Amino acid sequence: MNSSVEKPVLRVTDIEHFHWSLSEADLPESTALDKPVSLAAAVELALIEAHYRTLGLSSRKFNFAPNCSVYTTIKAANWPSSKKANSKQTDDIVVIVLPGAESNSWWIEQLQLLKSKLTDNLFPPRLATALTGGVAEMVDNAWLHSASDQPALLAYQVRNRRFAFSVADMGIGILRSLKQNPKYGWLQSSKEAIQFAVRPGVSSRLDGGGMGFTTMLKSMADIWGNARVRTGQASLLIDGTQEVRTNNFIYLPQLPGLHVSVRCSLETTRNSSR
Amino acid sequence: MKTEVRINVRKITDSNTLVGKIGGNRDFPKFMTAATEAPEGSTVVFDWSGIELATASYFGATILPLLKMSNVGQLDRYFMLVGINPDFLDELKLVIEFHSLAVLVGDIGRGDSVCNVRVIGKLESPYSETLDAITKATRASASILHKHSKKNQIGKTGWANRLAYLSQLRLVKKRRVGRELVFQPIYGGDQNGC
Repeated sequence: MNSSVEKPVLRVTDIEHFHWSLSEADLPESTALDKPVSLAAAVELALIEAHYRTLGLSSRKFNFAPNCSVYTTIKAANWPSSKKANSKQTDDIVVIVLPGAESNSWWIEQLQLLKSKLTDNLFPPRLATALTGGVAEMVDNAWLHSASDQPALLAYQVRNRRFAFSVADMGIGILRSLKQNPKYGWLQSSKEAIQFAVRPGVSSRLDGGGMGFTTMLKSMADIWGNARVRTGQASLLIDGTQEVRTNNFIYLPQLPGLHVSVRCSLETTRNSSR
Repeated sequence: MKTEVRINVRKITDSNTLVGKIGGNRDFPKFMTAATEAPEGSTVVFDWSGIELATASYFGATILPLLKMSNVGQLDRYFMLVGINPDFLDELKLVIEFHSLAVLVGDIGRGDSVCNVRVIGKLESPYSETLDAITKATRASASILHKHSKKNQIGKTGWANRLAYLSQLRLVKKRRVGRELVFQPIYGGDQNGC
């Protein structure tokens, strides 16, 4: 076999296809991939797996990324079973099973650690501050709006001038959350709900707020990267890899909870391919 | 009577990282207590030096309600924010502009003095000009501004309306002197130290 031929890499879109297959009960018994999957794909896989476990379905079928270091780290963190503050690190990957919002000092330490990792990896201080703020807001959203007893998950990876993070929760998702606010009671689909949720000032709470997504999206506004918001039956991909930022929606099978993933790089300029 | 009270945000929150609505809701009573302990009609200067990260949601849960209460007359205090790290100043702007408010911010210069005082928020140029005029004059009424204005097309009523709007936004202090309303800046400290 020609060693220069690349083995397939599991991507987020592949995970979506697997998930689609699963809903039709025709997922293969197991699929092993030798190459590591992306951080977002591994977190999505863990979220799907956790969801089906709550439904009492076997997770055996999902063991299709055994050699993925992110996935292995998530497994080691024992999410979602562990409800204690739990952080696992493998190389440049950090996976945190998030405790409740009451563990403030612990959480602040984690954020400070992330910010210093970003500056150590040549992110300018202003950008490191903004990206750390974006992560903090996504976790705050999970605490505020997921309405779940299960802990949320944060995974991130910082490399030289590159950063990726994912926040996943097993809660009620954006649609059900926003519908709690009578102002958005008319919403019918996850796509509509995501469209509103990413706008400033839109919140499920009557006492205002709704700045979390704006902070997160602003943090990466000027750099190469993309963000993906996956909840219910929809996914929004905000593509900031081209000169003009675009939003694309994909319809998908139902997935409870919310998964926000971001990746960005200072290495690549917009409008150039990777 | 003390007209300006400086509050160290790091000291009252005991943190240098202030994020999220949850964190803001938790800390709001600390901001509220600090504000209400200041004399009525005084300017509360929140000093953010030493804070390394603050997000829009945090500002939205702490500073925003204070400004709203002040604007509708529920809290007779004026507010100013100083020493905000430029790395997250945009987060404050986001919240203030979204809610169509305005607030004074300043930098911290030599000897801990406040300098480079400016407005954050949407303030149209006529109001900015009026605020500048009041700041330069230290105190003035609509008739004084009308008398000294080079723009003679602005009548006394025009100046009065502008001042009333700035007063409603709590960007100037108002008091009655005889039959006249006199306006003055909410902050009279050293502004030359940067």
